[in-house]
Parts: sequence; structure tokens; C-alpha cells
Amino acid sequence: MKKTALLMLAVCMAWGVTAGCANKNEDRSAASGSPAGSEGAQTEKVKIDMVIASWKGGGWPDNNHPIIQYIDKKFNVDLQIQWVPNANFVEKLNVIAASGKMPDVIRLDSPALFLKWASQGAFLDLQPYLSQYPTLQKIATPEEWALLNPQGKVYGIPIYETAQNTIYVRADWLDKLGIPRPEADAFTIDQFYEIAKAFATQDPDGNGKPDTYGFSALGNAMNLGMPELQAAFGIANGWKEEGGELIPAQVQSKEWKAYLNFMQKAYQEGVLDKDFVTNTNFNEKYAQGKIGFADMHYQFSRQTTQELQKIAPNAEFARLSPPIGEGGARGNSTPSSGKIKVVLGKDMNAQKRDRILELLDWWVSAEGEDILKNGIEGVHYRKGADGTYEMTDTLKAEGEGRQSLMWNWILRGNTNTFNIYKWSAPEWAQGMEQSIEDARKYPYRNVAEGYLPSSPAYAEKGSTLGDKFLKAVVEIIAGKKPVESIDDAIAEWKSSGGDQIIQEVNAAYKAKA
Amino acid sequence: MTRGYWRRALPVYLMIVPGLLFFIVFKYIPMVGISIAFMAYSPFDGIGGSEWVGLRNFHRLFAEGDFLALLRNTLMLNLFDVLFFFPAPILVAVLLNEIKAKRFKAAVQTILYAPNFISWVVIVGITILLFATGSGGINQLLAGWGFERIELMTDPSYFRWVWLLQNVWQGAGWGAIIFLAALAAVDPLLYEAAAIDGANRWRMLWHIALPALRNVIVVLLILRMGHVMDLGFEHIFLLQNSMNLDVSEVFETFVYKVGMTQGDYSYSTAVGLFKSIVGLIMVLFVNRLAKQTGQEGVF
Amino acid sequence: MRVRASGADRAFAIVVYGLVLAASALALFPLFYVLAISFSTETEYLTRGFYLLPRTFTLEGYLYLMSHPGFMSALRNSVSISVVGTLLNITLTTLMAYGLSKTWLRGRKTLNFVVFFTLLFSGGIIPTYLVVQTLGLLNSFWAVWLTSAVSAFNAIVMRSFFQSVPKELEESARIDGSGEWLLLIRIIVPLSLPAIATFTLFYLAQNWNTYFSAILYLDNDQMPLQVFLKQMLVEDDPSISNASSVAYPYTPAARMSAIVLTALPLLLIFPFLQRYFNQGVMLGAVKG
Repeated sequence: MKKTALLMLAVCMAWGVTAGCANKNEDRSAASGSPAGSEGAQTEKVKIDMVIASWKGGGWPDNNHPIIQYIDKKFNVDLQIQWVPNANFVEKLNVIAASGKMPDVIRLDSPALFLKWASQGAFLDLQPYLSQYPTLQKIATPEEWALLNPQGKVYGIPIYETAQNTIYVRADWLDKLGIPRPEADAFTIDQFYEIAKAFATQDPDGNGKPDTYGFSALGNAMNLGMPELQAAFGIANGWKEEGGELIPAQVQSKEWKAYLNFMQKAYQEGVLDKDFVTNTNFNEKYAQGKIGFADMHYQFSRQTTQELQKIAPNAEFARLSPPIGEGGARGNSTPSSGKIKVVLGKDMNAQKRDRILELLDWWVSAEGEDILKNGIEGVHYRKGADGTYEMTDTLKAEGEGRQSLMWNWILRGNTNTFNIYKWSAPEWAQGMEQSIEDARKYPYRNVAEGYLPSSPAYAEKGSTLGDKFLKAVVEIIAGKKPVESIDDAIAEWKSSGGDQIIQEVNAAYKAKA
Repeated sequence: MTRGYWRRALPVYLMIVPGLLFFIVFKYIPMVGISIAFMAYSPFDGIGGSEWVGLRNFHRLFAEGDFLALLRNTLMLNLFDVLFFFPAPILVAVLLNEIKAKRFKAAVQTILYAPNFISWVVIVGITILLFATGSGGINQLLAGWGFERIELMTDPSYFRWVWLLQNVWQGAGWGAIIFLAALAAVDPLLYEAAAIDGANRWRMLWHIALPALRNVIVVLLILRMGHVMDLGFEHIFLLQNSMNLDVSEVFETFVYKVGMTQGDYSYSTAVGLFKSIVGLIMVLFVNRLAKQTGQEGVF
Repeated sequence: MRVRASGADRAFAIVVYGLVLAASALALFPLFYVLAISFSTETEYLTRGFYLLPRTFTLEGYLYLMSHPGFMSALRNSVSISVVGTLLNITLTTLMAYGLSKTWLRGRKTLNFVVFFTLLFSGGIIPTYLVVQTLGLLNSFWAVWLTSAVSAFNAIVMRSFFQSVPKELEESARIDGSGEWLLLIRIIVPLSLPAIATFTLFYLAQNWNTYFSAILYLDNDQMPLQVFLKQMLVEDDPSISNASSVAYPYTPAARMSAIVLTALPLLLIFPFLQRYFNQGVMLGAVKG
């Protein structure tokens, strides 16, 4: 047994590249089918490599997925998607780049890495070709195309993002306690607190135990997962603009003190979830039915409501508007499209480049969206006799949404029905579009998103400085430190690198303006 | 060199060669990559083409405002680990070795071994479920009986103990295997002889079992010293929160935040090299100490 | 001849059994929790906090995994990686550790240091990847098998096990005229079964836990169980949930079932190896 193993090893050491130890890639390209050649110009089959970060659930197990086969046939390509778990995505990209085999298409979620690699000339400049692909060009505004790019160059396709999240409330709890639903124009932060306190103290779930909270928060994010509350106190969503200068939230002493007084009181009075420090997401928190006010988006609210109704049949998370603070300050966190990009490797020939752009142009068209989001008729869904659609059993078993990975994780257009499928209840589509339209009424932006990644001090120290500031915020809320001590945190943030970040970000801002 | 020596030694060298080849091809050749620590590495320019920056990455590390805190936290956790975790598997092995009922022993051993296969996400998740300040089961019991709640997950003074106990829970049974193997090599005749001499179980433990373990304990301890700067990233990262940051930030979590997510490969490599050098110094020191006290050492 | 149990011995037994039972109880209850959740409905999981006995019962998690093509292929991949990898590991390590255990071997100190040094210093993932690429091993299990062929840690510890084998055995074998290979196979290996079983188990667990090298070197359809498991256990990133938040059926039951099923093979294999390190080896039997 040992001898055989040794022999095997010796053989493979010597002829590592050939025979029994063959490289799979070579087998595969040889085995791939004959070109379909249905489209006139696309006579030659082109192999397209994509390296894409995968999230919860992971990517598809192989590249024979019906949607990939559909695209292979339609565009006469051999599409090879490699899904890499997001936690290891940057490492994998680094080794691939180092090996000199840059993939043809990558989606980059890290603006810092995008800038770094763009400046090293790793990506194809799309500017000269964009006008030939009008559908693709239309998915973003010129500003969004330009974000993070040097003048006159376009190194990536912007991923569309929109405001979506806002404050939701347990409508059944309001009814139970006889509290009217707050009106959009009159929902003040004081009213928010009053209701939240009633939720915490008047046993809205009727189980006789004081185990409910007005609202919860996340201990691992600067906005504590409830950006609407910070907006009401005038704290910037990262950075704001004032008199031509960009100002970080970290220096807003007055606003922080007002906000921290509010939060500290909420913690002390049991209005704020006592466990917020260790929360890293809200998914289970809200589904457990102990929290009254939530920060969520439409689809999250529907899913949570469905889950809750198994425990409390009347349960419902209903959408409100963000609470109004002093001077009318309010807002829903609004991300900028274009921070996340889909980039093309620079070393490709014209044929491949055209084929990829053609594919992506179709991708974001109505027809492309249909295929990439809903999947293939007969495989993922069926049309019934009455004209309505339903998922097939295959897709049900695999999980609704598993067919839309390419749409969600690679590139999607700028429609506002992200996860609404042909078979989804029609009111979901309406509700989702309406919720996004409403959320956009109260923009709350980080105005420095395009400039932050070009600050070297931010790249080096931004995250550790941010962690320390957040630590001070959390400690104050939990009552370990007085509210005034935020001034120490501000001073420390500034002196240990913050001032430098302010200066560099403003320099970048002025250079662009 | 005599012909006799080579006749004897040649087969032994042949046994070593395949393993040695592995170390050369997959460990030593890639070590050119250590030079990345002295560069501003770009994957597109490669190791040959990237710009040399000398010790700049190390200067940056030592100039980090938190460098001393990182060092202190890292060493403290390792100290806890060596003092309290390292002996745990030895204790488990010695206890299991004293159990004579075969089936009972096998069952207990399997139970103690199983936690090794439960991932940190789950272990930390369960701990939060039990000990969360507000909703944690145990804290609710405590509060119900009129006691103070224990802020186990957020009070920084508990962090190291929580980390340590979770390590023991997960790893003590698994780590015991190697010591059980060493105990299995003890000649049963020794026990019989001791019994005839009238020694009780305590004395047999002291005079037979523990000496049998000495060799492997020394080797493992020396190897452990090589990792005085290393800690498992995932476990600490999961336990970390804003409140315990002062004691929970270690080199691994720090590098993750400033290096990997930014794709700053050179800085991560430099931090890794620094940790390795500290480990090497520790091992050289401990290895020498072991040899002076008459032990074999690891090289 | 049996000596009567003394008072001290009885106290000893009480201490031993007491400690072992307490430790087992502590080890068991989180395991029970994982098992309980794997059979629970989502509603029960969300509302009950910590519990050991589910009130509801569902096999949905296990059924989901059994019918999941990704899970079954990951299971097959893990088995391939583990079986071949462990055979290779234990063969190379035993040979190397035995060779290095010879105190009379010239160059032994240098070789020992060569092995040890790799425990501390490594070139990092990029150069290793380039070596793997140059050898043409990408997208092949050989990349995983060969890059982890010998663990320096295991080789060093195994060497110290071999060193504790009595020297007289070697001497007497030499007088018999048998060479080193015969000595190793006929005498050392049977005598060292506890150690070999231990390191087989270590290597099995290491191969079974293959995660990072699979992500670096392998293709989508070659991913092992740990990659699959991790993807079920990770939470959605908040920055992406803005966009996707896909309603995957990864119920708590499915997640915990995945943990149970992933751990099961190594739990089942344990008793088979356990025999070897629980039983002392009779030196006399080999000598005779």
C-alpha cells in the first residue's frame, strides 16, 4: 500500500503536468460543445472568465446552470464563472492577478482596491466603446459612471444602488396599545421615543413579561444600524458638505451629544435593546417578535412579517417615514451608485471585448433582466392556464432566489424590483417600488464616498480610527462613560490621523470640483 | 565515511527524501515571497518588478499607535493559553487513562472529542444565547433570582476567560489524543510491578504516567512557543465587539482590518514576518533551555 | 495477583470518575443544542432561546441537504480529498519521522531544523500559488494533496514518538541482519500503532477541514464540505443585503443539520482508530 502511494507520488512529481494528474481546465475546453453559430457575426466561440464574490449560500455548483447554458448558446461564448466566498475574495483575486491570468470580468466591492488596481492599469477603459452600447450606458448617470475614475476614463460599470431602508413599526402593537399610526409629516423623534417607551413598558406582546424593547441597534456599525436616528440629530452619514468643505461626522460634537443623550436614556430606561452591543445583524432579532421599531427594507419587512405571523397571527411590520429632528432634519440612508463596479481585464482582444460588452448590454435590457432574474421558463418557473406564473418544484427545493445569482451578485440594471419575480404576488412589486420611491424622498448621503478611497491616511487608519470612535459611542450609550467624554474621542480621532484624512479628502474633493 | 555507514544510512536517507522534496518545493521555494515584506508589492509587477521599500512596512507597524496594545493583548492571550489551555488535554488524557471500564472510557472519549467539530460561529452563538446581558437564558435566571446580571460578552474583564474556556471546551478532548497515544506506549508490566510493590493509583500516576508523557509535553511546548504571536483569527473576531476592543484587538484582527480588506499585501506579509521572528527567538530560547535540562529538544 | 483497593485508590477513582462525568456533561449540552435545533422548526428556534429538547420535530433540514446537489458533490469531494490525502500524509510523515529519529544519522540536525523552520516561516499564499500553477496542478485535487503533504508539526512530534522506542530493538534487529526497511515495517510500525493511529486521525481531520486551499486552487465543482458549510453559516453582509437579501431556505434546522452531517463521518470513524491509542502495546509480544 505504501509502495503504491509512493510510486504514485513519484510519478506525479515527475510528470506532474500530464497523464493521471492532468489539469482539469484543459480537459474541459476540449470537451466543450461545438459552436452554435446562430448569430451572424459571432462565428467564433469566445471563452469568458468571471471571478465573482459569492455570499450566503454560495454560487452555483458548476457552470452548467441553465442560465449559463442559455447565454453560452445565445452569444456563442463559453462562460466560466468562478464563485469565491466573499471572505476570501480579495486573497483569491490577489493570487490570480499575481499569476498573470487576470480574469475577463470581475465585480469589485472594495472601492479602495478598485482605485489601487485602476491606477496600476489593470482594467480596460470602457469610455471609447460605451456609446455603442446604449442600454448599458443608460443604467447610470454620467456622474455615477465617473465616480472614482480619473478624468475621461471609465474603468468599470457602476452597480446601481438606491435608498431602501426606513423605519418600520409593529402595527399590531400600536393597535394593541391604542396608539395611532404616526403621520409622515408629524412623526418627530420625541414621538418615536414615546412610542418606543410604550412598547418597552406596556407589554405589547401580551405575554405578561417585560421582555420587549422599543428598538434595537447594531454594535458593529457607525450608524448603529439605525441611520434614521442619527439623521434626525443632524449627524452626517459619514461626511457632509458645508461651505465648500467636506466635514466628517466624527467632529460634530454638538450633534453627537444630543444623539448620545437620547440613546443613553433609551438604554437606561430599557427602551433600547440591552444586547445591542453584540448584535451584528437584525434578521433574527426582528423575527423573534420582541422589537417594536425596525430599520428594514420592504422585502425584509414582508419576510419578517410572514415569520412573525406563525407566532402572532396579527403581527405586521408597517412602513413609516424617518423621524423628524430639530430643524426638520430627517433622512433614509442613501448609497451612491458606482462605489461597486464590474471591471473588465485590460488584456483582452477586440473580439472578446465586443462580445462581453454585447452580453452586458443585453444583460441589463428588459429581456436580459427577465432571464437573469427569473431564470428559464420550464426549468425555474411555469406559466399556468390562467396566465399566472409559479415556481417549479426544482426551484422551490433549491430555494427562491437561487436562480437570480448573476443578477444580484454580478450586475443588475437600475430597476427597483430587485427580488420581485414573475411569480411574486403583484402587491409585492408595487409595495417595493412604492417603498423605494418614498425612501428617496429623504436623501441622507455620504457626500465623500467618491473621495474617501483616494486618501492614503484613510486607507491606512480609517478603519481602526473608526472602530475606536465607535467604541466611545457604544460605551457612552451603555452608560459606562458620560456623554461629555465624546469630546475626548473626537480629539483623539482628529489627532491620531483624522485631521490628515480631512485634509486629504478635501484636497481630492477640490481637485475634482 | 565508511562503507558500513552508507550501507546503513542510504535506506534511511531514501525514506527522508520524499518528505524533504515536499518541503523544498512547497515550503522553501515559496519563501522568496518573504521579500514582499520589504516591497510595495503589486500583483501585476510581481516579486521581480515591485518597488523595494526597505523597512518601511516595519516602521509603519512599529509606529502604529496601537502597536504596544496589540503586542500586550496578543501575548496575554497566549500566556492564558499556555498556562491554562495547554495542560487541559494532558489532564484529560491522564484521567481517561485511569478509567478501566473500556466501554465507558470509549464513550466518554468520543463525547469529549466531538466539540472539536463544532465551528466557532456556533460556539460563540450559543454563548451569546446563554449569556447575552438582556435576553441570555442564564442572565434571565440570575435576574429572576434577584442577582446582578453578568455582562459576560461585553465586559472587557471577562473576554480572556471566555475565549480561554471556549478553547478548552472545543479542544481539550481532541488534544488529549496525542497524550493518550504516548500513554499507550507505556509497558503494562510497569503498572503490574508497581502494584506488587504496593503503590497506589496516585503514586503510579506520578511515577509512571507523567514521566511517560514528559517527552511529548516538552516537544509540544517548544513548538507552542513558536506561535506566541499567533492566535486563531476567526474565534477572536467573532468574540470581538466595541466594548472589549481594548483587550480583544490582536495582530490577526488588526491585519485583517488594515491589510487584507484593502489588498495591502506587503503590510500583511511584514506583520507576519515580525510574528515569525518573535516566534523563532522564543523557540531558540526554550529549545536551548530544554537541552540544558537534559531533554531532546526539537532540532 | 490482585492487591486490594486501598482507601487512597477509592478516593482516586471517585475523583477520576467525577471529573470525567462533569467534563462530559459540559461537552454534551452544546452538542445537544445543535442536534435539537437541527430537528426544530424555525418558529421554535426563534422563540425559545436555548433549549435541549425540541417540542416540534422536523426532518426538513436533513432532507433539504440530502437533496441538495451542492451538498452531495461537496461530500464526495471531501471524501476524495481526505482518503487519498491522508494516505499520502501518513506514508510520507512516517517515513520522514522514522528517518529523522535515527540519532546516528549524519546531517540529522540540519534536516530537523529544515523541517522545523517551515513551522515558523512561510512565503505566503502568492508564491505557493505560483508554484502550484507552474507544476500545472491548478483545478486538480493534487494541488490540495501535495501542498499539505507533510505537516512539520506532525513530523516532529511523530519523530519524538519513534525516539522513545527502545534502542535495544534496533540493535537486535541489526544483528539479525535485517535492513532499515524491514525494521521499520516489521517492528517499528506495529510498535507505534498508537502514534500512527493518532496522526492518521490528525491528518484526516486536517484534510476533512480543507477550506482555504480548496478556495485557492480548486474549481467550483471541486469544493469540499467546509466551503459549503461556511457558506451556509455566514450572515449576509449588510452592504449587500441592500441589494440582494435573497430568501434562501437556510433555516436554522438546515444550518445545524449541515454541522451535524459534516461532523458525523469523523465521529463515526473515531471508535475504529480509538482502539489503537487506548490499548498499550505489549513490547514482549513483539520481542518474542
